[in-house]
Amino acid sequence: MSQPDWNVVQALYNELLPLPPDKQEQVLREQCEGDQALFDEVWSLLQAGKEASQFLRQSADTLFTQELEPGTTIGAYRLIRPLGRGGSGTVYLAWQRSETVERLVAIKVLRPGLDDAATRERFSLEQQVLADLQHPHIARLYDAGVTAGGRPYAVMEYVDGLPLDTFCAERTLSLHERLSLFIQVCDAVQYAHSKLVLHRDLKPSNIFVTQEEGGPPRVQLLDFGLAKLLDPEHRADLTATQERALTPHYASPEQVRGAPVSTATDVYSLGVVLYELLTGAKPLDLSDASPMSWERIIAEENPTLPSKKAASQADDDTQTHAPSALKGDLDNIVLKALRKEPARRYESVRALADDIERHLKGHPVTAREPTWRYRASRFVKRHRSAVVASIVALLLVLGGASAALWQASIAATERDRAQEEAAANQQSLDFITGLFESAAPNPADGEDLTAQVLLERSIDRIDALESQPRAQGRLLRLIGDIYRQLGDRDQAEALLTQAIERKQPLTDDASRLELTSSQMSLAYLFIEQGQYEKAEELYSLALSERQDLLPSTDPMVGAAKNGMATVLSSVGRLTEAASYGNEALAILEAAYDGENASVRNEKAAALLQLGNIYHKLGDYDRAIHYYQRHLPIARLAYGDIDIRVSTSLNNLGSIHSERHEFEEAIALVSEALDIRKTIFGENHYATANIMANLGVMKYQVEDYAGALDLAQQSHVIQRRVHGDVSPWTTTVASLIARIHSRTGEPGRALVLYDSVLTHQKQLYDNIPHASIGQTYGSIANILGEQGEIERAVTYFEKSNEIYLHSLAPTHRRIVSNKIALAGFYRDNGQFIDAEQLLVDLHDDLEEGPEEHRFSQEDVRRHLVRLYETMERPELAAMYRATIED
Amino acid sequence: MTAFEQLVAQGESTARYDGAFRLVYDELKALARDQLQREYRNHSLSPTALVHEVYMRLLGDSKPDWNNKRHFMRLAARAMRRILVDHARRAKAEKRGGNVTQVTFTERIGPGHRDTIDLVLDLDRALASFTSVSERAALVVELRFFAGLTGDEIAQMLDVSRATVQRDWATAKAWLYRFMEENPSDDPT
Repeated sequence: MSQPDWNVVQALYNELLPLPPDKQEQVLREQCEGDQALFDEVWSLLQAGKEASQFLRQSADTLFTQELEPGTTIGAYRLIRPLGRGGSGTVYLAWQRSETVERLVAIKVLRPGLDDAATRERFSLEQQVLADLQHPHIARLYDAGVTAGGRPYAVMEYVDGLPLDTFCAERTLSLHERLSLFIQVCDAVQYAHSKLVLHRDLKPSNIFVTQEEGGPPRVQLLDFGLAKLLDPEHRADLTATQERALTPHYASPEQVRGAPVSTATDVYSLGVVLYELLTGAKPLDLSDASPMSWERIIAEENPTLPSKKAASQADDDTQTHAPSALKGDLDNIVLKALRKEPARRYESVRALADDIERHLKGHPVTAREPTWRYRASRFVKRHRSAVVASIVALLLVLGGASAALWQASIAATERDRAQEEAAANQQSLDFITGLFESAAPNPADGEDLTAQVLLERSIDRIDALESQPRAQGRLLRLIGDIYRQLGDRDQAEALLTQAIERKQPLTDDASRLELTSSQMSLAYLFIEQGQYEKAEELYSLALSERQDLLPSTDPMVGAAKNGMATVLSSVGRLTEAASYGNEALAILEAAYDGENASVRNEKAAALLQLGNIYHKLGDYDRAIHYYQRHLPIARLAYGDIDIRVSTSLNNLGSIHSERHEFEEAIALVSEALDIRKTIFGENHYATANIMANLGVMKYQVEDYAGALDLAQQSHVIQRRVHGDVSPWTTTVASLIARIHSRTGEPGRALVLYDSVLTHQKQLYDNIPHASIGQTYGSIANILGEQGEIERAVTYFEKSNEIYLHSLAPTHRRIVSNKIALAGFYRDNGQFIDAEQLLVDLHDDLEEGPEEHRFSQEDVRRHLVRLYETMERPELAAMYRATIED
Repeated sequence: MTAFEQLVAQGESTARYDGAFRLVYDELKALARDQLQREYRNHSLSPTALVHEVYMRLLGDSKPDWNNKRHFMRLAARAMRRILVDHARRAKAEKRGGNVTQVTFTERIGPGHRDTIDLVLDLDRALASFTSVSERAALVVELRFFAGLTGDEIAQMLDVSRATVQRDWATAKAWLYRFMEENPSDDPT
């Protein structure tokens, strides 16, 4: 018998559905006119439909957020209604009925799917921790257990109040009232911290406010759901569990990175809460961002000043205070709590609360720290003696006596005299800037501010020298250079450009020479900013001017050639760079009498530069030769704690790394990093570069967590200092992309590489720079791994084409590209292409330095694999035999 | 034109359909994997939200014509069904592996179903049979349950009246429920 027609069944079913059951049967019988099959079909559907009232009531969302029905009992608790949903479960209002107590409670039941052992472990830990917490502003934990169904639950004090943000908005609380409530919150968190408990999930919906008739509002902290013991015994758990159960808006950079958390983490979340209380908006805009970009935004983007945010929302209903009330103290307090680096936030919640209280009482707060001043104070702290010395020097220069001296020297017209003075000036400048660059750290604390004020004041004094353009120009350069080293690029560029403008009209030889020095300083600044064309122009102006004014063997000519070598090396014109570098070294070696410090330093710079150039050219033997010559001179010249020493160590380490001697590499680069940290602190761009390098090496020994941590730290700094379009930032971004691709996130990696490529093309402005080749190669690798062989091939070809502009055909990078390409050919069944590529490569690597042996080994291994895949064992055996030794 | 729109524009031959399905499926799966596994649990997107997120990604702000949106939603519902079924299978396998107490709350969400994992698996099977009875009504269930569309949205999509969708839904529910009762899962948890 055939199935009854569905249309008929459906029509009948829907017609009968509204009728009472007894009527249904009667009508159905009539309609079916004796068709028993149709009757049975519709009748059974009607029966099933009755039972199915709850069936499919909700969409598949229930798989994620399954809820319990009101009336369900769990132990002595009867559920009344859900109060709210969190990430790990749902909180219900429930009635507790036992022999001794009857009351309303809140029960948090973990959602299904989370009832694994680790969660339950965490849950029971939470119970112990919470039972210890007894504070008027923290909701009590009464009980905890596991339901008959195996779902863990916790029974908590029921707080009949409003979330903090709703409360403030509904009662339109004044600024002062909001701050007072916030201090209550701080008290509770501080108390928990004193019990070694972190909250880790502070947000307005976890902070309730209750108010009895006529009484003051009272804060109650809910849900220490993520609290973990700070106790050292539990520290391992704390860092090992990389689970990221948190709310992004209130999550700190270290939380989104999965890095260890501390009390500073709660300080950050409190900062977000405070920001919101003051402005009605979140500090960072995550609303349009995809979950993938949350991490980046939280780790990198800086919040708008609360006062500015409040001003921008002036028309908005959420706006409650005059932005001017937030300006100054509160801006600084909030931003200090929201610093990206935990160590730069308030050292405790207590300190945060104290600062707010100070503000309420009109006392000065501790959070005032304009940016350059901050940078300067960090720097000055580590360079006390140097700074004091240079301030003294500056004061001498600025003093009346020296001004008179300068006037006298301007009157003197003899060329020798002027030259001598120029050299002397050069030396005093080197002395001062040298001190800034390389002084040993001095742990003693003292008058930081005085030193900064002096530096600022010296700028003011420069204006007074309007009538002496030469002295003025020179000082502008001096101070511009100091600012450059403090990392304040804008200020440095402004000062150095002014210096050049002042000196440009002067025609005497000494002034012309002095002009070249300013040009060199500015050129160096441009190199740091990746503006190589401008830098090259300035260096070549300086060089031709010096060649005009001085004998060709003069060390100042050597220095200018060194500058040319630097810029050419930076844009990848390595052969030209090498010849300038060698000329510079020859001049400087001949000129060095074993005493003149500035010549010695320039010679050291040339050695370092040559090491660099040969390093990039892939000539590691030469590179090592120059680095090793550089190290003792640098240590002699600047001491062990010096940037250039660290650069050499770092670069030597890099070569070891390229030779796969990672242990030595990591040791050398770690020493380099320690030096940088000592000199510049954790947040300086010069530290960031070495962090990135060490990151690369950890990546190579497959310590991906360590690598990612270093790379991300570095990236934050690089972006802050250089922006996106800079060689430093793109390089570190590439490293992060590489780590992503290695840790099973090729999608994230591709997105990142894509933006790197865009930035690099902007940066190098169509110059075929090797970095672009590298990015193409990396993209090719991922595409290949994803099976997109055709696109991969195109990208490999682009990559090699670019490499060949600056690298030898046997350079490791080109070899790596070809080996990877051959692998994809092989996997794709294009055996002939793979074979040809590998055999050619093998021949190319027959000659040349040590590194080629290493590459050749690799090629052989791939040939063996290829021939095995091709089922040509005799050929495989042939190449295998050459590997054994 | 986005990649998705190109695929749609090229017509609905089986190969193209597969291509578009693949695209939607991969996107959804990548998102769902993040959601189901580890990150940002507090902000776990519901299947409905996931579908919309993928919709934004694939069609973006390009103001797609209604045809594309319709097409997308059908694909998304199908893809989400597959993802949830896969997830349920895995969850079940893990349960079978032991050490997890079963959930025995009193909710009655389906015939004999103690949790949504069983429900999803059984529903998937029931729907497979139901498609041959009424393709449209099966689609209504898929769109509503797996993609989270409302009755109005479904009506608009299928170009039928709201009442028709409602009738399809009511009957389909009864049919599926009966099917599950008559064909209990052979692997009771």
